[in-house]
Amino acid sequence: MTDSPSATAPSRRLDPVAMLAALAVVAAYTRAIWFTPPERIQGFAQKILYVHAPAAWVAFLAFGLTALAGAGWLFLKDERLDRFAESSAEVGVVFTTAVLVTGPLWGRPIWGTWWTWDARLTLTLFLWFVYVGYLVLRGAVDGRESRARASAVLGILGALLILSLPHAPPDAGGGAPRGADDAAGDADDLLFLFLRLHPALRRPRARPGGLRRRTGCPRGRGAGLTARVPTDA
Amino acid sequence: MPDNAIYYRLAYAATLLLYAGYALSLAWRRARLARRRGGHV
Repeated sequence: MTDSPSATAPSRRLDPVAMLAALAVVAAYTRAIWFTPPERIQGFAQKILYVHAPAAWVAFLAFGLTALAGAGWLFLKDERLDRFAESSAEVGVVFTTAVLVTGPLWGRPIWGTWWTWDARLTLTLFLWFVYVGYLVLRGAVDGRESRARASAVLGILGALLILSLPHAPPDAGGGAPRGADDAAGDADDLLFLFLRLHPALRRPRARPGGLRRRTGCPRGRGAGLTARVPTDA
Repeated sequence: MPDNAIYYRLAYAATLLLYAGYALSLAWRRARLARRRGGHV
């Protein structure tokens, strides 16, 4: 079974998930800006948590999925899992960037400082570097299998940092922002994640060496027959 | 109530720019992929 040339080619038609994600972003921003009152003690700065906390949750979810997909690739060697891991890591980096940008903008008026080397903040920054390194690594390694193996290992090791995050003791700055849990769960960030991930799960196009590597069959006319004949017969 | 609206405006503007930039990057890569795959767009 082979793919038709257009089996996974993107179409110019707008992706419904993309449209839904865009609408959700607009809806979330509209509600947060115009339909939520400023908090009594923190003032308007508290509204930053409506984008900061969901971005953090989705980033950690994305890195967790990267690790799971990487582990899956190590066992199954399915190219879709490798692409899924890469896509998920990319989304994680984008949302961690949002966390690292909005965090100091909340910390300055509330803590009185842009940044503290609190364990949780430092680990988040380190996580960002690890997954930027993951993406750079993917661009630097030649060979699909070597790239997938190296990045799967790095993806799994990077996700171990996430497990240590909730247990990191809060420092003088106070650790994670107060009230962050109230803001978690904005659907728009999850849609963004899904938007990036669902194309990665499509069936891979037939590429030179792609199907052959997994099945051991040579390509070309009569390839299937050739593969069934023992070479030493 | 403290007057710190500037920080919240900056944060929302920054995230909006980031998300919009990423969405444009996805759209650009998608279009480039479509062109590379023989004009199946």
